[in-house]
Amino acid sequence: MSARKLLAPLLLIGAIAPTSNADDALLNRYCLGCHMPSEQGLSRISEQRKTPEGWEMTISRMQLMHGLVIADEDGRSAAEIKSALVKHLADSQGLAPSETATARYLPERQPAVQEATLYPAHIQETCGRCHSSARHALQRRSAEEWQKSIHFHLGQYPSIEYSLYGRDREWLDIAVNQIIPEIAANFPLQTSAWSDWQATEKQSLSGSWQLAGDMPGKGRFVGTMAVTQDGDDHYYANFSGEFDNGERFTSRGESVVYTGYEWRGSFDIDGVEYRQVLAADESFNSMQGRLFQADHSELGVNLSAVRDSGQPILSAVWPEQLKVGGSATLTLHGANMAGAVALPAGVNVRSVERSGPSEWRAVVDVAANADTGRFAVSHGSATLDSGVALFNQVSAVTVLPDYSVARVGGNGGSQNKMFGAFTAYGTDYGSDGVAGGGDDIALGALPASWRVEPWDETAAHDQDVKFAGNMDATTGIFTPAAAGPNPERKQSTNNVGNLKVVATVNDGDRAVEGSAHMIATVQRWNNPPLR
Amino acid sequence: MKKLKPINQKAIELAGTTSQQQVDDVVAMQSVVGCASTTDPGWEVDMFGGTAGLCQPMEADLYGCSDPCWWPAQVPDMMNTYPDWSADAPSAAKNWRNLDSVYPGKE
Repeated sequence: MSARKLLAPLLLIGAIAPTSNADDALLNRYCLGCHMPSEQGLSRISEQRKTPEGWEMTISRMQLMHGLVIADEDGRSAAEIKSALVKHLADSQGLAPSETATARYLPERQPAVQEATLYPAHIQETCGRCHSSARHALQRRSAEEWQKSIHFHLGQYPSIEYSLYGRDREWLDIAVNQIIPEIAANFPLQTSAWSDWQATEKQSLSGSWQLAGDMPGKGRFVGTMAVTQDGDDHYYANFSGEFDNGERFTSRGESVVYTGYEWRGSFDIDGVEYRQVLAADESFNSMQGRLFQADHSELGVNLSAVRDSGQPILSAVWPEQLKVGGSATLTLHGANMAGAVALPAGVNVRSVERSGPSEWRAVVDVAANADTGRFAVSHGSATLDSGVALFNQVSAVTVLPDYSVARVGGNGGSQNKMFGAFTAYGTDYGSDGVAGGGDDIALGALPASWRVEPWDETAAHDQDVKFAGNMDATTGIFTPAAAGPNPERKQSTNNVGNLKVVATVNDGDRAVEGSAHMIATVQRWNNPPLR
Repeated sequence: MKKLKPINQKAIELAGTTSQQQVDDVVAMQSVVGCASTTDPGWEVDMFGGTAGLCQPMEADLYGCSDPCWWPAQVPDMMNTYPDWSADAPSAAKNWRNLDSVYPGKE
C-alpha cells in the first residue's frame, strides 16, 4: 500500500491526506445530485469559502445528515476521494493568509484560548456559547448564505432558543436582523484579500527549514526539516528536533499544502502520531503554527520555521536567562553559523565546548555588576534580538495558561483523557522592585516544581485534589482521573475538580510561586477538527 | 524567533504583564475555546465557575442532555443528528463505555 493510501484515512480524524488536485468533474460527481449548477458554480457551495478543515467538516456533515455516499471508486479509496474534494474546495474556495491570521488558534488546536476578548459580547452570546466564534471567523459567505447558517442552526438544534442567552429575548429576530448582517459585513464572500491571494504566484515549500518553539512539559525546542516536493502540493519531510529536557527525535512524514500556504503534515514520532499545522507567510520563507499529538491535541509544540537559504540563522539561545554573578552552560542553536559570538556585556566565556555551524556551546560567567535586561545575542551576522535576559532575581512567576480545561477519560470508554499542560514564566521587577515600573525583565520559561490545590472551599470539601487526577511535579503535566461515575464520591459524582495549579520556582534560597486555574471536567463526544 | 506567541488580546495583555496581581486584573472568563459557555448548568463549568454545580454524575442525566440537543457541540444531539447514538447504551450510567465519538477521534 502506498504511503498516500496509508495516510488518506487520517483525514477523518483531523489529518489532511495528500491528494492530487481534483477538478470540477469530481465536485460535480459527488455534489451535483443536490446542488444546482449556475453561472457562479454549484448552488450553496459556490457561495462559501473555508479552511481545509472547514470543508472537511462540511463534507462530513453532508455524509451524516444528507446521505452523501462516498465509496471506493476507480481504484481510489473513499478517503482519498474525500481528500481530493477537500483539496479542490480549499484551493479554489479557501481563505487568504490575512483572512485566517486572527483565528489560527482553531486549526492549530491551541487548547486554552479564551475568546471573550476577541469578539464582541453579542457575537459571543449568539455563536460562542456553544462553539468557538472562530468557526464563523474562518468562513466567508454571501449574505444569503450567512442567513441560511442561522436557519440551519435553529432547525437542527431547536433548543438554541431556550438555552442561556437564547431565551428571555427575541433570539431569532436578533440573530437574523442584527447578528447575521454584522457577520456578513465582516466576513463577506468577495474580498480583495482573496482575489489578491488568488493572483499571487505560489512558491514551493521544498528546501531546508530551521524550527524553534516550546512545549509545556518538555521545554524549548529546536529542529530542522528537510522538505522535498513530490507532485502538486505534496511533500515529504525529514523532521528532527530536540527539547531542552534532552529528548531528541527523528521522523519522516508527509504534508499537503492547501490554498498555497496551509501546510498540513503528519509524522510518527517515537510511535506517537503527530499533526503539523503551519501557515506559510506571503514570502514563503517562514511558517508559523503548531505540532501536536493526533490523539492529544493539547500536547503540542508552538513552532516557528524559517527557510534555510544558506545564510546564517540564529534560532534559539538556551537558557533564555542568566543570573548575574552566576555561571551557566550557554547554547546557541541555528544554521550556517560562523564568525564571532557576541554576548551581552558582562557575560564572559570561560570555555567553548562546541563550535559548529548549527550549535555553539560554552560555559559562561556573568559578572556580578553586569547590567540587567534583555539583550541581543549574535553569532557572526546572525542576531537574535532580546535573545537572553540578564537578571538579579525572580520577582514573580506567571503560570500559563492561566485558565484551562482538562477532561476525564479512559477507563474503558471511547474518549481519551485531555491533559492539563502548564509552563511557568518568570519576571524580574528590576531595580525599582515594582511590577510595571518600567524596568521589568521578562525571563521566559523557568524550571518549576508543580502541585495542585483546591481552587475554593467547595473544591476542598469535595476532595477534588484527591479525585480529579495527578499533577507531575516535574513536568507540569496534569493527568486527569478515570471517566465514569465514581462510587467513592458523593452521589457517585464524576472525577471532576476545580483546581489551582501552583508552580514553585527556586531562585537561590528563595521560592517564588505562581498559580493558574484549571477545571478538570467531563469528556465530550463531538470532536471535529474545528470546535 | 519568539518563544511565546500571544495569539489573542488577552495573551497580548498577559505578555505585557509581569506580576500575578496584574494577571489577576485581566478579565477572567469561564469559557475556553471549544467549551460551552451556556452555564445553566454548563457542560464543562457550572454557573459559579466551578464543577460542583454540574449535573453529577454526568451519566445519570446524559440522555436528558442529548435528547433535547443541549450542548450539541459537545454532546451528540439525538433529536436530529445522531438519533441512534445511545443504541448500545440503554442506561448511560451502566453502559457509558459503549458511547462512541460521533466525529471520529478519541479526544
